[in-house]
Amino acid sequence: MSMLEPLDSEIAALFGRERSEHRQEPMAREEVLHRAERAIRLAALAPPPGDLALPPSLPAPPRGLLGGASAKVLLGVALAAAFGGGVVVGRASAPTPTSPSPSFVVTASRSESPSPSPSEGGPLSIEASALPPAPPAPSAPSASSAGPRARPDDTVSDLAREQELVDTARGALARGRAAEALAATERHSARFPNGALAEERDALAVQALALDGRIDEARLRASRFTARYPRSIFRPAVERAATPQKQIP
Amino acid sequence: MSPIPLVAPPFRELFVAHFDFVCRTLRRLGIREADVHDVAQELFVAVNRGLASFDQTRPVRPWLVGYAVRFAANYRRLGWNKSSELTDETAASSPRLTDRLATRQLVLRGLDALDFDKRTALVLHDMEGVTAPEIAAELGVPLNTVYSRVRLARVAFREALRALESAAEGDAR
Repeated sequence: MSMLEPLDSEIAALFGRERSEHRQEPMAREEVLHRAERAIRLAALAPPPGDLALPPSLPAPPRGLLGGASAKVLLGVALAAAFGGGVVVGRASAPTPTSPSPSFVVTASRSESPSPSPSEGGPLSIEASALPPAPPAPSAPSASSAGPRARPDDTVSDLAREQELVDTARGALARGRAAEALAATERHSARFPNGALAEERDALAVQALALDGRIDEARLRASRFTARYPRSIFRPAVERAATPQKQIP
Repeated sequence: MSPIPLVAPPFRELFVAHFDFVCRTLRRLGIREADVHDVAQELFVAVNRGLASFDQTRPVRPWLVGYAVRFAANYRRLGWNKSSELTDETAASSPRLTDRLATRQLVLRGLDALDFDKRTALVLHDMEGVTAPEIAAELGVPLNTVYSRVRLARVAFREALRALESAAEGDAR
């Protein structure tokens, strides 16, 4: 027998009453909508899920807030480059049930909820091969160079300042404040033209220009970006921003 | 100044129309009340990505159900619900359980007695009216498996309700 008997009336009535008790508050709905849309915009700074080392059975990466996460990855790359290391960066501080051990882990945070994502296993894993090449690090000259050697403290301090500017730009972008975001990227450019976070800064600048409606400038900057960083994890987001008709993932 | 349309055009409309449904389904599939909005948020972010490839001639709810089931399954698999097997609002110990628990809490507690596959089948088929063929298609299981799960789930759910009522009567004496 394949067909089902009708649900008995007592249980059906119980389910009907139960359903009426599930209404969501309009404020909660608005809040979640706001957070989801913000996450979608920030996730545009990350590669599409297919580029990440997620099991194919999973529907989506967990917290989509890869803006901050990608910055952490780059920060890790930059720190590794600055200190002459360069292999293990941004590794998870604690193992997760699904994280394969050789993975780099992006730990995206969300201010509204300190608890880790329950839906897909917490941190996203990015295979080492998916990471962008370390950005040029002119502030870390080779041992044979004649100039004064950068001290690690200075490098870390600069990275912190860079990070602050990039965070400012990203936050402004997330709030739809294109001019503010662009200003932050320009301050970064002026102070750290070849900084460790230049790649993310340039990606944010393209997004900010597009958000501001300056599509031609965004396209020009996007073209330079892809030429300079052909394997960037930000490339899909940059290309989407500069190509409005193809922006849906 | 126009915002970057990273959010698919139908996204907001879809969100508003189905947010309650998604939250209700997640809750019934075992997501704790405290986590439902976080999980729903992530689910809709994933849905936005999927919109580009979604065949808009298809009904939306069975498609969303597929997301809800996967998110709920991962939530359970990763043990995020273990800290509160008796879920937040159903953990009340009461001399008259049925007097104290709202209908929703009673139902959720009954659902907690089912394994995930049966729970999913009952929630989708009997509580949300998703057809068995739609469930089979979204979950990738044979149609007869869906029917079987719904039947077994109904039996198990009735038994769970009876057990809850017996417990309540025992407490009352």
